[in-house]
Amino acid sequence: MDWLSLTDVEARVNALESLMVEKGLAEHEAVDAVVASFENDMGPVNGAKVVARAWTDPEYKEWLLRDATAAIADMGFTGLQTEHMVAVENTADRHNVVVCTLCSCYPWTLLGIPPAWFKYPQYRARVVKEPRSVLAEFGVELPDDVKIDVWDSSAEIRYLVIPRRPEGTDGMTVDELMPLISRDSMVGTALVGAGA
Amino acid sequence: MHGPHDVGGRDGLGPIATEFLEPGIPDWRYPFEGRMHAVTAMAIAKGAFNLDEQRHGIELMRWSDYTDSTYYAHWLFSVEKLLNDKGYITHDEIDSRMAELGTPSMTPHPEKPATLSPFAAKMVDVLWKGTPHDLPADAPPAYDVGATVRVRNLHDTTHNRLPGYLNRATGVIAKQYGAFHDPAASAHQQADVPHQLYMVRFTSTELWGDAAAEEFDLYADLFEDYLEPAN
Repeated sequence: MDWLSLTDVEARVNALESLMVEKGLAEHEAVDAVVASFENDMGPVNGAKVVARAWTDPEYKEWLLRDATAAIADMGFTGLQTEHMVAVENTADRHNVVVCTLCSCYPWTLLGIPPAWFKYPQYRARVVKEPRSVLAEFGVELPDDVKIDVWDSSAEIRYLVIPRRPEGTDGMTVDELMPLISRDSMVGTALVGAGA
Repeated sequence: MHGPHDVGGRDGLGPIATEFLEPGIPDWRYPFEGRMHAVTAMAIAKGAFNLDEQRHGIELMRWSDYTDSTYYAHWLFSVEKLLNDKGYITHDEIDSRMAELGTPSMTPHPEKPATLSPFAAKMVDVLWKGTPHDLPADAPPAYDVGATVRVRNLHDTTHNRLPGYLNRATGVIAKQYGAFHDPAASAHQQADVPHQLYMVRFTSTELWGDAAAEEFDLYADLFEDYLEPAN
């Protein structure tokens, strides 16, 4: 078994699933159902709904900052790896970026499956030591007077970044705002709107 | 443990791969990724092992395998090791089954089945209920918000959730979360032990020295026993 071979890994996962089904630890159709749930029902559009509501409803934003677990539960996005939440807000002088240095912890039911760059060691190693340089590689150039806060999800708390609402969006509805809010902006590796 | 997963602050792992930054790259690039994710969740739901055991299993990979393999190879390594060591499925059985099955043909992006079996319905339910990780505390928190604490000089070779780059660093308690499952008790004794958890703030100069290239604050969520009062 060559752990570095994609072909071997795929064949071994296939064998594992086959044996797990025989031993009563899994069902093939249940695997299909779980995969379909992740691919269709979980994804950054859920997080974008939360952010757009926070942008348009000051009371909700205050609740989200004070008790993100309850505020996100209110929108029905609590779930596996999204049980305990903290929301952190980007402002004119503060930019937040999230990482899990020890593995790849991420709020699945709110933002979906994490992107590859979040899960692999390079980002995890570097963003806790040189976040400004890492952000520049993502195309995020912050003025020197913007302070960076890095959040390492080392326990079961998961983090949502509330990106800054871009200029020129006053009066836009939640439905109009949501498509502007990217997955990366809610992890902290992108801005929303001009300059994004 | 300071295994291959404990990468915070390490040098030499290379730049973020540019192919990962392609717009539109799907988060599960190959069908085996979603299926490995799903069977892991199922094994946990069936009680074969728990999440902390699964994380710890990954920490036991060979360094070269960890850093150079595709991400879900980590999950495969850990789940296979746990199922073997606990007597469910042996490594040899997997070897044989690989040979028997040959090249897989997995459906990319399977549809949700029209009717769900009771187990499938339960799994979807687990996805949307989650598995809360907090526990009633058995003692009040030792540290108040605003207290200055130091991360202990702690080098467990067993599982914990203390990133090595925080070792011996002085920080400030930013938040008290209450008690959560202790990861070591969960991984090694399969026991539910409440442990007070804190958000702790560190400065970049504290972590990386006065010559640190950048200035920023870093927050990590740390258990009480990882900390001691600072002088």
